[in-house]
This record gives sequence, structure tokens and C-alpha cells, in this order.
Amino acid sequence: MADIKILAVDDSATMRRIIVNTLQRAGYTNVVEAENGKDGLAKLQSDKFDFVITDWNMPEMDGLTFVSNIRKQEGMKKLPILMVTTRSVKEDIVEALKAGVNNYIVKPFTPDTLKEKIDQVLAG
Amino acid sequence: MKQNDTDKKTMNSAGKSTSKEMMHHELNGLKASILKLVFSFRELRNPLDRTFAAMPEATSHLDMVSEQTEAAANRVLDLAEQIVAQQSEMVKLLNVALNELEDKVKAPKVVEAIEQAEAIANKCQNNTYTIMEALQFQDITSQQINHAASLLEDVELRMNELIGVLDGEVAPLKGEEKKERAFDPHAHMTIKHTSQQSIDDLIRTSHEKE
Repeated sequence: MADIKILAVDDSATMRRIIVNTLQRAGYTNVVEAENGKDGLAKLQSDKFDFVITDWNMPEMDGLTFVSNIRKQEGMKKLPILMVTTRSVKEDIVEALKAGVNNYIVKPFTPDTLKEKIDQVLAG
Repeated sequence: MKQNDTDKKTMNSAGKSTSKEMMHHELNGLKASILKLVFSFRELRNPLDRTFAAMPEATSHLDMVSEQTEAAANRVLDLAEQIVAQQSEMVKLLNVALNELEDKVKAPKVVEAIEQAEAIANKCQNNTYTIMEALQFQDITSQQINHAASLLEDVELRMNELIGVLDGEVAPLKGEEKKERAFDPHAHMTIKHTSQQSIDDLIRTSHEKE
């Protein structure tokens, strides 16, 4: 569990810290932060990650575009992606699934839900 | 009215008001109405100008609220992270004390007290994590504030267009370049339009189709 390298993408610095702390508590200590999709893509291209957690609403590049871009990259088509966002309208969730997310959590989330969804996605 | 009718009216109205005079009278009335309208527009301009001038300030105040709550939330996070680390250290030290005691002497009340202190330290750590989770409010309220600020910027733009119509030309908006705002217009602390259970069902259905 501790060996998994996670990329946490969110434009809110507060939210990133909450996610990092929640992950550390759950045993995932290897976490890198990015502040939007553009920054996230750059980090994915320069380093290898096992899991991506991303927000939807972000400036410069939103989460949906970020996920679509990941899925276009060779070698990243199967990269596990969990979207953590405030968007809870059904049509949005369907759109995110079409873009290629593996699982979806609506903020505010509980640590148990976050851990459960990560475990589910990793279990395939 | 056709030209022939006008001529007829001019001929038939000898001794009384001519159609020319009637037209003059009508035009004067029209002129008075236009002047009244212009005056009304001028009356409208003052409050419109004042409101328009206040819009960027209102938006900037909203941004300030967002920045200050973020700074405060991060300060709380700084302290919460320190407390979590200190509590972990406290539990380690209590364990050392417990092991030392058990190795040397049997003092059941002391052992019990240390175990209770350890349980309290763990409970405090859990509560500290709960405080961290609660700080998610900052992201959600910040999106709500960004939504409100975006609506204000939209109103400012429309008011600028309206003033442009009154002035005869639309001037470009003054001030700094507008910041890019990313927000969910439905962001809410308690209302989730789709439950986690329904999301899970959607995901399951989607995976089954693949």
C-alpha cells in the first residue's frame, strides 16, 4: 500500500492538504500535488504514478479535460483515476465516466469513502 | 397621411388652424416628450453610474473573503498537522513508559492510567482528523463565492453595455484583467444531487456495459 504513488490534483491548496492528510492516515504516504490539469499532465509526463485523484472545477485545465487527455496518452489508458468533486448532478457523473474516470466521490467526503473507493479501483 | 390629403386639409381649414400649425404643435409635443425622456435618462445615469462604479469593489470584497477563509483554514491545518504529529509522539512515549514499567514493576494502577492516556491521545488524534475533514467547507464556500463574484461580473458587463447604449458607444471595461474563475454553480455543503449509492450504481452499470 505504502509503495503506491498518488497524484492529487486540486486547485484548492486547503483541499490538497486535506486529501494528503486523509491519504497518509489511510497508509498512502507517497503523494504528489498538482494545482490544475495542466500541472497534473506535466507531472504525469515527468514521473510515473500508480493512481490519480482529481478535482473537476479548476482554472487553466479542468478535471474533465485532464482525464480525457490522460486517456489519449499511450501507457496511461489504464491509469486508475478517482474524481473528487462538488459536482453531484447525474449528467456530470455520466460525463466524467465517459471521459474515463474509474470512480467518483462528491465533496465533502469522509476518509472511509475515500479509502473505500481507492481500494475498489485498485482491486479493479 | 398622403400628400393629397394634406393639401386638401390645408385648403379646407381656412380661417381655423392649418395642418401646418397642427403639425408644428405635434412636433412641439414630440420634442417635449423627447426632452423629458432625455432628462429621465440623465436621472437614471447617476444611480446607474454609482452602482456600476461599486461593482468591482463588491467583487473584490468577495475575493477577499475567499482568500481570508483559505488563509484561516490553512492556519488551522498547520496546527492540526502539528497536533497529529505531537499525539503520535505522545502515544510512542506512553508505550515506552508502559513497556519499562511492565519490565520492572507490576503497578496495575499506573499501567491502567498510561493505557487510558494512550486511548485519550488516540481519540484526540481522531478528533483532529475530523477537524481537518470539516475544513472541506473552505473549498465549497469558496466555489459559492466565486459563483456570486462571477454573477456580479456579468451584471457589471451588462451595465457597461447599457451605459454604452445611453452614451452612444460601449467603452471597454476599466480595471484589472478579470481573473479566471473555476466553480461548480451547484456546490453545496449538505445537498448532494446524487447520493454516493446512486453514483456507485451508475459506475457499476457503466462497467457492466464495457
